[in-house]
Amino acid sequence: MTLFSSTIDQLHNGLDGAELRQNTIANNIANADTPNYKARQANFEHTLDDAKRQFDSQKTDGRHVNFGSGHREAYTSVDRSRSYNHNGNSVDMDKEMAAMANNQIYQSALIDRMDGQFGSLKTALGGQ
Amino acid sequence: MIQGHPPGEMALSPLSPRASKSSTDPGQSEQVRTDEAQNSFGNMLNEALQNVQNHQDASKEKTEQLLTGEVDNLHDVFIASEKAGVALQATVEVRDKVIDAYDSVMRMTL
Repeated sequence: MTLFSSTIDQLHNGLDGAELRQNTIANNIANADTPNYKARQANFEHTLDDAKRQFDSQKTDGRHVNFGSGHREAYTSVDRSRSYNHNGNSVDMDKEMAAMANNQIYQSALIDRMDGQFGSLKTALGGQ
Repeated sequence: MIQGHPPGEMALSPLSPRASKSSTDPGQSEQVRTDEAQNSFGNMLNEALQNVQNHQDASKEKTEQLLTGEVDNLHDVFIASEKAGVALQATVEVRDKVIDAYDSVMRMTL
């Protein structure tokens, strides 16, 4: 029996991802005027889904590889071909602001759910 | 859950055979036997707990959808989670009351 449900771990991963995205957006905004800077995107949703969808390969040797490829960790990607300003910069300020607002709502929703999960545990334990 | 008694009569009678014989006709089995009463109470409790579990599962599913961004309205997530929370709290209150009742019975002087 585990005391903390898998939902708590998933919420933890989600909050890690939200933080990464927040940092990435802040970085983009800070470099809005830097020549030749390309905007970065945070990708982490796959880390929440993978645990459910990916199944492990049966390995009998250290050199065997896992099924599937690609990133397991959250990562940031960058599109080098895009350009938004004449100085080669690709930061779209409106887009970044919208993404940041979106991320803030996401993060506070996750925090609220995390609070609910711990609250349920405490209720069940009878600690008022 | 005990049926077959006039409102004024104590529900305790099925436990004491002498009292039940004097009050009702032994040929009629209107009275609920102790094991039946226990069964129906057990079923009721089971159903109530299952209901709480269903609420918890719905809340968990909604939370996962929120995490992966599949959910398109936030209020569904929070309504489901509040329902689950209230159901859990009600269960805990019932549990505490049952334990209180048990304590009262154990403290009873005979």
